[in-house]
Amino acid sequence: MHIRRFDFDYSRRRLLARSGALVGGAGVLQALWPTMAASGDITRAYPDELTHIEAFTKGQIKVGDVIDADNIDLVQDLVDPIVYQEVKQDGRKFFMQDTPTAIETLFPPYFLDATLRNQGLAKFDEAGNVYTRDGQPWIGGLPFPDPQSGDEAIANLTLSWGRHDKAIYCFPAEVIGPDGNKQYEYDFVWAEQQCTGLVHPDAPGPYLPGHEQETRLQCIWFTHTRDVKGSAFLSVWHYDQRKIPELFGYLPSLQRVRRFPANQRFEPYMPGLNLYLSDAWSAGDPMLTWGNYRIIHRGPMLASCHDQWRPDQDNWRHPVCGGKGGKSYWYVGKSLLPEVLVFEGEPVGYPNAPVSKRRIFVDVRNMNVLQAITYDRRDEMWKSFETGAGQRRTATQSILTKDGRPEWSFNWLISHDIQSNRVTRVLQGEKCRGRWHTALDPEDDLLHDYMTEQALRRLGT
Amino acid sequence: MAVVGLLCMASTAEVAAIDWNVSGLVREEIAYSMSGRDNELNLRGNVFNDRITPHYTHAGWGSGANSGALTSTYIDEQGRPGLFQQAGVAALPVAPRPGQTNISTVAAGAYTFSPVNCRHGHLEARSAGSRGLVGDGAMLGVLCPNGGGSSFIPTANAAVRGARAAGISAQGAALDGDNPFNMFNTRAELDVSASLTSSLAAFVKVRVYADGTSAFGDGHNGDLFGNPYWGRRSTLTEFNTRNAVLDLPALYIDYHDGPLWVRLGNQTIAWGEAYFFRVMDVVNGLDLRRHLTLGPGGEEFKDQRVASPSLRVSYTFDNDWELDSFAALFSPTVVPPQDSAYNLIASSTSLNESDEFDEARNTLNFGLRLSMPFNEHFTLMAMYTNRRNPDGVFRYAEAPTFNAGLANGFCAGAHNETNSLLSHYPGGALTPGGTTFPAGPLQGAMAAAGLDAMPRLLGHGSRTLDHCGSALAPDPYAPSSTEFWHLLARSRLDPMKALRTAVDEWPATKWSAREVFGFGREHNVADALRTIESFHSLFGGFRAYATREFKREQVFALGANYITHSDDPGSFFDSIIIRGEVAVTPHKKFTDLGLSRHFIEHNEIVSALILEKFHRFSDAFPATYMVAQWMHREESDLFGRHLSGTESVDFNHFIDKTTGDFKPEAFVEDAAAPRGSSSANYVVFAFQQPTSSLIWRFDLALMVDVEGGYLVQPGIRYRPSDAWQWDLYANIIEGDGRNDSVMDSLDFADEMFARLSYFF
Repeated sequence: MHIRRFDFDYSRRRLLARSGALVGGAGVLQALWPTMAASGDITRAYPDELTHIEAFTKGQIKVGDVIDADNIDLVQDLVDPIVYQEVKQDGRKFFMQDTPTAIETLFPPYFLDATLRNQGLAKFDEAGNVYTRDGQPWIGGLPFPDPQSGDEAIANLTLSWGRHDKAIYCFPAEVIGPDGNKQYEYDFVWAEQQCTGLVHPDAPGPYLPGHEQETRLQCIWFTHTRDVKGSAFLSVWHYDQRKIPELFGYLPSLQRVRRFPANQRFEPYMPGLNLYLSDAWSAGDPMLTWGNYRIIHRGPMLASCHDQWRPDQDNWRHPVCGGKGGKSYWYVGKSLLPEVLVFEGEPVGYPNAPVSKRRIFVDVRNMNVLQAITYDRRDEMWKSFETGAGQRRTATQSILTKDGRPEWSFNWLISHDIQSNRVTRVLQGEKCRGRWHTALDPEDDLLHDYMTEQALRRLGT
Repeated sequence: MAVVGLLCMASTAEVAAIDWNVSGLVREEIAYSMSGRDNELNLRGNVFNDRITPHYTHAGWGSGANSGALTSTYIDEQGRPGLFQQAGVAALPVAPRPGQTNISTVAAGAYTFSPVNCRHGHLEARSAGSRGLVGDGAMLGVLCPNGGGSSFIPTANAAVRGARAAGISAQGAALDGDNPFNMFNTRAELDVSASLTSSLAAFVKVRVYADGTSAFGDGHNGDLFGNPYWGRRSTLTEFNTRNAVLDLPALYIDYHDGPLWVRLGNQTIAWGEAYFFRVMDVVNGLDLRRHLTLGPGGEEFKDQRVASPSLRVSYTFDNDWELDSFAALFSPTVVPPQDSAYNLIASSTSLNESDEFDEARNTLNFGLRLSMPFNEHFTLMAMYTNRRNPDGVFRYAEAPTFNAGLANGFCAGAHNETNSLLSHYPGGALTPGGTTFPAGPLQGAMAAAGLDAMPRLLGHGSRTLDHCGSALAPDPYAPSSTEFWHLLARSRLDPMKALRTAVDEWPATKWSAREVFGFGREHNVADALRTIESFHSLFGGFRAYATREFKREQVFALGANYITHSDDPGSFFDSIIIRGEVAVTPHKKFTDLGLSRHFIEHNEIVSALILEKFHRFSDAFPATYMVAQWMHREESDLFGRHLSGTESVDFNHFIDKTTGDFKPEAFVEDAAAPRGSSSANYVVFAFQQPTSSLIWRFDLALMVDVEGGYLVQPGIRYRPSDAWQWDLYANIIEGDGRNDSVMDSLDFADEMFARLSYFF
C-alpha cells in the first residue's frame, strides 16, 4: 500500500493545473519517466488514489466490480464520452481490474529497451520530422517518452505502430448494425515491417537495409468474406512525414496489382467497416499531413491496458456484451490509469476530409493509444477507436520473446460510429481464415513474403 | 496432373497441418432485353425468316434489264472459257488472252431460274417433287409459298412459274422467336484454398453456370457451351452440356521463397495498365459464353479470362524490379455461342474449328514482363509475349459432305450436282442463246476443252481441301442472297470478296462456277448477284462453313505509370495516376475481309492512355473514383476486326428503288467494297461513388467509339450484409448505323441486368 502523503484531491488538482498549462512532464509526486527508468515501477510517481480504483472512488467501486448502466455514473469522469454512452445507453459492461505498476507490463520488451536506451536523443528537424541529435532517422523506441506537446505525442504513435520490428496480426472483424445484429464479417491480416527504428536484437541495426528512407511497409489482405477475399493493399510509408504513402493494391476483380492514389484516407476499407486508412493505430496518416496538435487534458482514466489477452478462449476471443443483440462490444476489463494525456490534431492536409479533428487518449506510462474519438465537420462526435492491450501472459500461458520475456501487444479494438450506431468489433486473434496466425517479430522474411507487388498478387485470388 | 501430384505429396506429408479455407457464392443473373428485338444474328431473330426475297437478276424482276446485263466471264490461265461460255466467247471478235478478266459474256440472269428465295426453299422444292434441272434429282432449285419459285417443279402451276411470290413465308415466320431475357442464369462458385506449408499453398475454384434463359422464350437455341476443342469442352478443365458448364477457372499451387514466386497449374494472368482495354493484357483469351463483356465495367474480365495450365515464375530484385514470366498451354478465346443472346456470328455460318484447334493444341504461349519502379512517382514496364493469338483469325472452312440430311452437292465426288448436270445433260442449250451441247455425259466435252472433268482436291493431308473442296453446303435455314450480303456486310466483311473467295479458293466450287458455268470473277455487284442468285436458283439454299486459325505472333509492349503531386493537397490535379502503354505486334494476322486463308497482315500498334483519380468533392461522401481512358488502334477495332472492313454496304444501294434495275455503280469494280477506317479510337469515362459506409455504390461507365456510337452503363450495387449483394445495371448501346463502330455490332444488346448474390 502506498502511503497517502497527500489529501484525496491533491492529484486531481495537480493534474488539472498541468492540463491548464498544457506543459510539464508526466507524474504527480515525481517525474514519471525518471522514476520508471530507475525503479521499473510507477508507484512513486503517483499518489495512492490514482493507482487504486477503490481509493479513487472512496470505496464505491472495487476491483472485480462490473461497471454497467447502474454504476457508470460513479466513474463518469474516468471514461471517455463514447464509452460512457455505450455503458449508460447501450448495455455495455466492463469489469474492474487492478492497476499495473511495473514498467515491463506496459511495453514489448525490446521496444522498452530501446526507449530507455535512446531517451533524450530525438529532436524535430525544421520540417517536423524526427531525427536523432546527429541527424539520422530515428533509432527505435519512443522518441519522446515524456511528451511535452501534441507533436511529440503524435510522433510517439506514428513512428512505430505495433512496437515490433515486424508483426503479423490476424483480425477477425464483425460489424454490428444498429439493430444489434451482425451485419458484416471480415477476416483480414495486417502485417507491418518497420524500416527505421528497429529494436530487435537480431535486427541488422536501427534501419532495414535498402529502406532507410522509409518508416514502414504495411500490408493488409482480406481472407473473408468471399467477395473481398484476396483484396490486398501495400502501403509504403516514407520517412518524411509530409509525404503521402505509396499505395498498391490487388483487387480480385482486376486480377492484377495496381497503384492507387493514397491521398483519400477517410474511406472504409470494406462495406460497413468503420475502419479507415486514417484510423490505423489512431495515427494512420503521416503525422505532418495533420496539424494543430495540442494537448488538451491530463487526468486519470479507466482503460484496458493489461490482461487483455485471452488464451483460454477460442482464438483469444473475448466475450461480448451490450447492444440490442447483446454482442456489440467486447466484455473486457479496465483499470484505473493514473494519468492519461489527451491531445487533438486536425487533418489540415486533407481539405475535404469528413473529419474536423481527432482526440486521442494515451497512457503516459507507455504512450499507448487507449481511445481516439473522431469528430465530424460539424465538430460533433462521430466515432471511436478504442483499444485494449497488454502482455501476452496469464497465470498459465505466455508468449515470450527470444530472450524469454513476456511479449506485449494490443488485443482488440472497438470502433463505434455513434451517428449510424454501427459498431466494428475487431479481435487480434490467434488466427483467422486462411492459414494465417498472429506473430510478433516472426522469423519470416516479411519484406519478400508480404511487402512486394509480387506478394500482393500471390495473396490475391 | 502435376498440381494434383504435388497436392497429394503435400497432403500425405503434412495432412494434419493443412489449413483449409472454403468459401463461395450463389448468384442469380438476370438480364432483360430493352432492345425490343432479338439478336438478328440468331436464327430466331433473323428479320429474313419470313421474307420471300426477290432475285434481282431474274428476268421477271423490274424491267428485266438486270437479267440481260452482261457480267464477267471466266478465262483460265490458258485462255480457255468455262464450258457453258464457249459459244459466247467464241463469238467475240478477239480471242481472249490467258487469264483475261474484262470479258463479259454472261447474262446476269442466265441461270437465275428462280425469281425468289426463302427459308426452306430447297426442301420445299424437293418435297414438291422437283427432279432438278435435268431431271436427275440434282439442282433442285427452290420453291417458295404462293407458287413462287423454281421452274423445275413438275406440278407447279405454269402460270406462276417464274413469278414473284407474294406475301410471306409462314414456314419461315415459324422460325421467329423472342426471348425478353438475355440471361436468366444461375451461378455457383466454390473456392477452396489450402495452406500446405508456410511457402506452399494450393487453390481451386469450381464454377458452375446453368442457363435458364431458354425457358423464357421460344425459337431455336444453340448449344450454349460446347465447342470442339477438348472433346466438346471449350476449356481444358470443364465439363459441359448444352445448357450448363462446370469448370475450374483456377487449380494451382503456389510456392514462394523470398523473392521467388512460382505458380503452377490452371490459372489466369493479367498484365497491363488499362482497364478493359487490352494492350498488355495478352496472356489469356476470353470466354465470352456467359455475358459477353457486358458485365459491370468495374469487374473487367474477371469472369471472362480463359484459364490455362501455366507455369508462372516471378522474381523480385533488391531494387524492387520484378521479372514476371509465364509459359502457358494455348487456350483459345471462346466466342459467344450461336443462337444465343450475345451471339456475334451469323447463324447462317457454321463454325467448325476442330482441325485448326488441333493444329494449335498442346502448343505453348510464353512471355515475360519486367516492372521497373524508378522512384516513388514513376514505374516503367516492358513486356514480350510470344503466343498463338487466342482470338484467332477467321476464314472459310471445308464444308461437310453431308449436311442436314442431304448430300452436299457442292462437294467434289459422286454427289456433286454440277457433275450430275454434266452426266445427265439433256442436250441442246441450257439457257436461251447458250452453248449447245449434245446429250450428256459432258465430262468428255470438258476434257476436250482442256478443262478438268472433275474438281481436283489437294489431298495430301491438307486439312481443308481433301474431303469436300467447298466451303458451302445445302441447308434448310440458309440465307437468301439478300440476307447473305446483309449479314456479311454487318459482320465487317466484304460480301463480294467473300463470294469470290468461296468460289476461287475452293476447288469444287471453282470448278462448278468457273470451269463449267463460266462465271468470271465477281468484280462488281452485278457479277456478284449473278453468281449467288444462280447458285440459289440451282442449288437451293446453302450455308457457309468457317473456322479460326490461331497464328503465332510476338507482342512487344512498354507501359508506365506516374503519379502527380501538387503542393496544394486540395488540388484536383494532386495524386492523379497517369498510365500509358503501347503494344506492337509485327506482322499480325487479321481476318481477311473475304474470309480467305490469305490473311491480312500488318504491324499492329495498340496504345492506351489512362488518367485515374480519387477525389473527395464533399465531406458527405467518400471519394469519387474516376477514370478516363483513351485507346488508339492502328489496324483493328476493339474486337480485333481489321479496320478495312468498316462501312460495308448492302447491295440494295446498287438497285434503283423505282425501277428495280441496277444502278450504274453496280457495274463499277469494287464499288461495294467496305470503305474502311484509318484507325480506331475509344474514349472511356467511368466513376464509382459509394455512400459513406460503402453499403451503396453508384457506378457509371461511358464508352464512346469516336467513329460514332456509345455504350452507357449505369449501375447500383447494394450490399446490405456480408452474405448478400444486389447489383442492378443497364447497358445502353447506340451505334450510328454506318457499321463503322463497335457499337453498331452490339446495338442489339440494350438491357437491364440484375444480380442477386449470396456469399458463404
